[in-house]
Amino acid sequence: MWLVAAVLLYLAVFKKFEPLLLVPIAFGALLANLPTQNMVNPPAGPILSPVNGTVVISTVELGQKITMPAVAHEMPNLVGKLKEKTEAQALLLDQFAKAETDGQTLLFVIRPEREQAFAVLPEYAEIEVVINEVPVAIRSTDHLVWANASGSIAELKATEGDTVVQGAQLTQVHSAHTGGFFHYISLGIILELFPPLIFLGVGALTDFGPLIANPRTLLLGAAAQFGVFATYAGAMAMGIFNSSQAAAIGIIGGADGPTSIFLANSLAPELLAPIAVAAYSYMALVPVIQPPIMRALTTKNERKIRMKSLRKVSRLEKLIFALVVVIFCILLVPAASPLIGLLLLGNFLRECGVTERLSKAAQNELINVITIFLGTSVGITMTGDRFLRTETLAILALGIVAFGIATSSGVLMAKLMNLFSKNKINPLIGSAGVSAVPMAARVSQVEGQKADSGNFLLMHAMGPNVAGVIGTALVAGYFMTVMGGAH
Amino acid sequence: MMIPTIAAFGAKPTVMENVSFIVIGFLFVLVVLATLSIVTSLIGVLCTRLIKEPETKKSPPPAPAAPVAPKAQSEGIETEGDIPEHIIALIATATHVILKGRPQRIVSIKGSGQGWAQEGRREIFSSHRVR
Repeated sequence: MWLVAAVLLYLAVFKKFEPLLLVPIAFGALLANLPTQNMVNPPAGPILSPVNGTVVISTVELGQKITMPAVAHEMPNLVGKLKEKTEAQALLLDQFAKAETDGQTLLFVIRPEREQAFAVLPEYAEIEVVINEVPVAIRSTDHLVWANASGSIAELKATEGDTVVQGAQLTQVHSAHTGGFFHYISLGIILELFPPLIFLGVGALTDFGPLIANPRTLLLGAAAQFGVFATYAGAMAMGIFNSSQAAAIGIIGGADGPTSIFLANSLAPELLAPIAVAAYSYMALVPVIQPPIMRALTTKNERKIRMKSLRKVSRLEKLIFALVVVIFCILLVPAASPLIGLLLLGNFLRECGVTERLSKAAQNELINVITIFLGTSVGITMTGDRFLRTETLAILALGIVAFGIATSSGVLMAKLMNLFSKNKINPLIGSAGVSAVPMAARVSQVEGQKADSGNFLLMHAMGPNVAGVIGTALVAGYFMTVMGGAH
Repeated sequence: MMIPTIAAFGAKPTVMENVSFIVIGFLFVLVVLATLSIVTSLIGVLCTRLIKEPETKKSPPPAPAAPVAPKAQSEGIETEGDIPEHIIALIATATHVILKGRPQRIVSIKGSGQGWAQEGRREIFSSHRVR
């Protein structure tokens, strides 16, 4: 993982790939893989039951000291998803050996109630393990409750043989030193505070004028969302992800970091780190990924199309637009309210002309502070045993496919619109329908100038670019509504 | 609108469930943004009319002449607020110097507005490198 952190730092510092985000992420990743103290450890507190069931093993005693290692392994709380008994046994024995070396304590084993936890009785395997020098049999469907903080047992609420419900308190751990720095900072992601705050800053930084002046570019932003759905299909076809995970991976195609984090945290928190890294790395690589696709799908004459100058958009129009979008989108997809609501609030602060101080704060101090916290909090989740997996490689592969398809869809939509329109659109601005504000728009400008040095596409491309942000937030809301991840 | 149709979406949906999920989702985004596009166009038409009508009643204020630029050209300069004549002259001189005396005509002079917004944008733009 040190190598991964070094590569990310190299890309950020020397290759200048989205350094504002990659530096905090990479530094966080480095911290995550060092034996840090008081950084990520959660506070001591109540230990809760993960499932309705019966306590079959309890190792805790009143006053007993439990410890959490400095670099904690992510301990499995269930091995049931493994089909082979030998595989489950090997994993469990390995984890028990690691826990013994590190000093991490297994507190309880909860056997789920059949009627509530399973529709049909699963085929479980009985695995022999040794706990506190006593051999016991654990079923592969049993839930393991590990100590997640150092401290002493202050209260005992459940003992062997007790029936417990999900969320019931099993024991209380007390410690005078409670919670590391990043435990509290990371709450900004877990409680979904950071992505909407970033959107507030993005809204305050973005001029919606080009989109309002040429509203049909909204369709280009919509078309680019096909990349999200195609990647969802690809992830499902791989067979290693469930539907929620596939949706969280698919949103990488929206090329919108905060939305990716927002959705991943909601639908597949276990994949947050690789999804965030893929989303931000590929956003940084937009100037490398997009141009070949754009050139392959367009002719030289199409790339030379000059678009009509955009009309001037009045302040009143921008204000009405912000209000219409926020009302319309939230009524349709309430799950996306935190993103859409704050994006348009930021834009309203910018355009209304009477809240300049607030607009300045959102554009500068707020977004900068949140970017540091968000980046490092994502990076700190990149521990080796969580990141170096087959799933991560699959997500990185799917992410690049997502970007490619989203770019193609935008370009093809622009070509389709040209078939029915007198005012031709330069198809190069279609690629800006992936969000990545303002990188994607700049790529359209650069490619356009390669074909015709006097052609200025930047402001035209900002239309689909901003539409892409709204479109991705809508798709995220749709996923959350359907998958039941909405809070 | 979509909640009752696919509310019971499982962790491992069937191929047909997946196809309908994708088709409905993509159409949903297309339709919502297309509707927004129509609504935005309507707002644009309304606002353009509202703003144009009062303007036609006002007689256009005479544009101050720029001493450096020829009089026939300086009359058409659109300015924002009351920009003093000597500032217009200064801008005309500056453009003349920068363009090294090439033929030019100043059409409009406007303030750059929110400097902070521009600075924020500049910082974001300068953090990327386009190959």
